[in-house]
Amino acid sequence: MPSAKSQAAASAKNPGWIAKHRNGAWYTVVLILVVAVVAGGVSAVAHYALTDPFKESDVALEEAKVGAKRTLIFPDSKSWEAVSAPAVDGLNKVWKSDAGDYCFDVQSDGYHGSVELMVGISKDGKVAGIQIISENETEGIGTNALTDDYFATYKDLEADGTLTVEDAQSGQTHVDGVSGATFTSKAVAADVSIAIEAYAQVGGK
Amino acid sequence: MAMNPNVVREADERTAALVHSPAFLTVAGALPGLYVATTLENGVAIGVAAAVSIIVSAVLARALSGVTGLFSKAPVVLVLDAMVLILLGFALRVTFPVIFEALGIYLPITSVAGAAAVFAAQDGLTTGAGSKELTLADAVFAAVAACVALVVCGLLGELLGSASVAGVSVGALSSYTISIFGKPTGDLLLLALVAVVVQAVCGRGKDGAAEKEGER
Repeated sequence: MPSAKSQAAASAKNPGWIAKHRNGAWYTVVLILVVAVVAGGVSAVAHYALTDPFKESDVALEEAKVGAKRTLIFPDSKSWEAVSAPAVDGLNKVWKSDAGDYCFDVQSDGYHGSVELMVGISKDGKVAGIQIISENETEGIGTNALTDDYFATYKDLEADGTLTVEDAQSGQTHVDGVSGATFTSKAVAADVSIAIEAYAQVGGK
Repeated sequence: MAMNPNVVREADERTAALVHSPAFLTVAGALPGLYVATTLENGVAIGVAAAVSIIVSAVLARALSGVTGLFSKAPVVLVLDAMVLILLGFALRVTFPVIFEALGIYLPITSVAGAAAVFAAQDGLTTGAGSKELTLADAVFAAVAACVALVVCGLLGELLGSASVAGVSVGALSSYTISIFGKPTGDLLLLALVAVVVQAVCGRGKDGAAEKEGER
């Protein structure tokens, strides 16, 4: 009866096909390709099967992100409900709190793409605060117009008319821009103006 | 002119001693996920991902050793490890979407941690007859070390960089934040500190065992 040792010696002398070829170039290439296709296929099937749960989690994520911004502007508000957004260029979404305050998700063009802000307008018809949702402005230059200090200059402005960093015409209110960040300053003023226009259309002033 | 085989052997032994050290295993396992370990929550999430990556790589390397050769082992283990982490990412996206958003592309990139651990188990750059698989004990050690390293980096980075822990502000430290922490530079400093502690603890364990054996 052949012993285990002699069987091992025999298999060492006559290795299988895989053992003979597994260090070869073609075997390596084909194996990697097959594994890559299988791994990609499994990932694709899993992604397809989870389409509905992903949609729900995306909604929850969006709400978590903007919810945090709303709380920063109106810390005392307990609940918010989404309101049908009027057809205003640059307006994304509108929320109304239990206390009658509004938050507007607005965007306009900055220096590098869109500057999206959350603008809060209180039930008294005044700008309550501004938070950044997304921006892509130049660090240290454009972002100087996206600081809390600059946003504070808009606080308590009447939500009426439009805002401009240039010389104010009739129906416009002048706001200071940030030197060296003109495009971004204009984007912030435009965003707040969009929020004011939307506020008028949802039943504000 | 061929190198003297003794010189080559000594160089290989030095390389093997370096890559088999606990500090190297800790750094190799934690480095891919270090960039996103900026808060305690993110540190825990990416630490768990790194631990899963290392253990899965060790299991796969053993299971596929009969099928893979010298040049196909690393890529096959890497691809399958990345697939496991992608599926883990899907589960994270459904259960904790905020953390998933924070980790982003670094979740599948952490599969490199597993590949690095498998690489470290071999004799560094020599993959000849002396190479060996990562043992389960080594894999568990590397997984725990990488996870702890990333959690510590996340915790200390958030505490020292923004004076908060898990989003809760620590009032006493708010005037003394150090801006370097919470950024990649500070995280590297913290990782180096953790690696030194790991090496000291494991080195003390080995010295203790050698003392018990006594002189020969």
